[in-house]
Amino acid sequence: MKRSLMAAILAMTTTLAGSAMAQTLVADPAAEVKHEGTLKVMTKFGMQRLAPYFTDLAKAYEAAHPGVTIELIQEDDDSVKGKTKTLVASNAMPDIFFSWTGTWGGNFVRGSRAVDLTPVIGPGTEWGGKLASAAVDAFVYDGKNYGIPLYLDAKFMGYSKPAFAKAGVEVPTDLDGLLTACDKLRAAGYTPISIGNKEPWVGVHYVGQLLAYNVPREVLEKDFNPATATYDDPGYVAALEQFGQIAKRCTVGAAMNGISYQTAIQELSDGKAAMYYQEIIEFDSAASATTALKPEEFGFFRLPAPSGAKGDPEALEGAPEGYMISTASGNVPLALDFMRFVTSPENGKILSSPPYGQPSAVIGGADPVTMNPAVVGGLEDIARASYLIQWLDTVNHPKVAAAWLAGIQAYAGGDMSAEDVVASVRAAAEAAK
Amino acid sequence: MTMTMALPSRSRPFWPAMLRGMLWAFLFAMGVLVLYPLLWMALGGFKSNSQIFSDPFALPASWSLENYLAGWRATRGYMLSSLLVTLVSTLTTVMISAWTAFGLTRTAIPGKPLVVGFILGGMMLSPTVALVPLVRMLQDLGIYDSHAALILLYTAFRVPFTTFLIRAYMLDLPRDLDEAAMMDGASPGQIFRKVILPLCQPILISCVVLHILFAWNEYLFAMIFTNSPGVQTLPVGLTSMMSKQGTNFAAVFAAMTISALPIVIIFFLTQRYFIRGLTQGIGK
Repeated sequence: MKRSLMAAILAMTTTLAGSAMAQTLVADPAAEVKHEGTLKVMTKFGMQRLAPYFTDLAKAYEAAHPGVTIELIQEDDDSVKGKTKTLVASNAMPDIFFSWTGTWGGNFVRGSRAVDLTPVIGPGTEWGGKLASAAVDAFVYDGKNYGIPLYLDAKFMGYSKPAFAKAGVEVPTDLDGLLTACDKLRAAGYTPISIGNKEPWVGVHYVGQLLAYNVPREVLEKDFNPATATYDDPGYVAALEQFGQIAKRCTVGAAMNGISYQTAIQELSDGKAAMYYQEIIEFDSAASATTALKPEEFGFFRLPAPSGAKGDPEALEGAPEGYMISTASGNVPLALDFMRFVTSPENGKILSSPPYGQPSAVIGGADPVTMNPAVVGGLEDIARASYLIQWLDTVNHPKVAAAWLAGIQAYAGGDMSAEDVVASVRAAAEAAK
Repeated sequence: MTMTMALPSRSRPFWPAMLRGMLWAFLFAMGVLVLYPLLWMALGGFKSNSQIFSDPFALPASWSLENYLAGWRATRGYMLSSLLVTLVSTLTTVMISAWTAFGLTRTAIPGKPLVVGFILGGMMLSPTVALVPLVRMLQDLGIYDSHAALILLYTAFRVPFTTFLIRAYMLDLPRDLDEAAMMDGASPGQIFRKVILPLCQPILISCVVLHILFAWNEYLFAMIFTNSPGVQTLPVGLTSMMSKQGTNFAAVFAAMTISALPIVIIFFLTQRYFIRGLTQGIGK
């Protein structure tokens, strides 16, 4: 809903803004950078733990270029949505702004709010070569690059090494192995996998990864586009049924719909649960010096693929988050220069290390000495992944995303069958055409 | 002694006493319903993240003030902004509203019902709808991302409601007072300052408390119209302590308790006037 509203606002205000505003639609790599003036930057690092990252970078950049002033607008996960909508609607977008991949970023592209960065960051460019290619590709719309990825994120199964040792379980290599491990962990007195599906994206993340394993990539990408979507691959039902098996044998079952994800991750941190399916950016908080589960006792593995599945067993679910440049910016070359500075390997290393712990999208932006070893390992896995499938709730049309979110929650609660969920998604895709 | 003590209870009828007991039990239950969440929040500040999730209703395992100190460090800057914005906007709102209400009740204005309707109609304007034009307007005025922006908005959006309350109270004040003052040679300004305003004390205190509650807790405007941590108020500051990953909920609870404290104290100190002002003012 929020995203369709955003799209409407963008379309409307773009028409209203008309040609009166000076617009830069395509970045010019040869443009001269004038180090003077003010740059407004809207980040999603407003949380007190993350805020100093951009504050320090802005200070360092201002010190290097005395003519430049950086004005930061630092928002958190939720407020960034409201602020973006209001600033877009009032034609007051900052020069550089945060964007998710998928439909959120697509709205800026459709409304001509984001500068086409293909000449500076696209394939074959120097800057593009310095960033993880899967991350750069995630911001490609209609074959053009629109975003500068800042950090990577992907989903892994975090586990407690002491729990696995106590239950005599090894890291599973396929889905059956995971289910058998769950039985042993339960017998040893642990909740095998803690899960809180009160926020419905949790279940959607499991299914997203299982879809990558069960449905061929071309089919998935065809179905992500409502115009070509058919949702008739048998892999969809298979993925949901596999999620159903995990829910039944490894978790609290239907009760997951009443538990928040924060409670679930705390169960792993407290050593009560043996596993928790989490994003790489959660590694640092799942096991820290202040939790019962210590960082050295924390391990992770990819959600094991079912043997013989038709999709790609090397695919990984995840998406980068990054920044776009406003077409209304009066100083695009300076904005790009600042983003080059932000994505330097040195600043990437700072971002990847505690207290920030956001795995940088810069190649060489990881420093094993300062980083949590699990995050380093996760980054290597992301680099090895053959395909980064984006979150189902952001890559799809808002109507389709809503059908996935509601359907999977109902499926977890036992109110819908796997076939019904896929049928509802198919209907939503039809309605979104 | 025993006889005299026992006598009145024997003479008191059973059902009225029972009803009274039930009423007390009901009021006690209501009190618990209101106070327990506040107490739970305050106790949460002494727990650890782990205890908040695993044992949410237990007493804290230790009474360390560490989270409260962390909460205070994280919110003190926002607290100053909140204090400034709340104090100034309270003063401007109540003063402007009182003066407006005086004009609407005590002076002859042509087309007065229209003017009253126009001012009170401001209550129907939804803040959410006004966001977009307000961003443009405040940016053009050069006060976007400043305390002045919030003070201006809080005053503008609360003047209609505050005027409505004070006007209702003033309508009930006898005209003879104005006339007597006028006979003594007082100007309208003097009548307002020296006669009407002192008489309106209960409703003014109610309005002050209501406005403080509003300005202290307001989130939407504070989130949209401010960017810098030095300008942002407490509700925005509190959300910046939380994130999708790695929130220290104990410190958040502690910070919430610290930020609620001034309001709770103000309310307890002024509740007598507050209730008197509202019951005398509304519905007349």
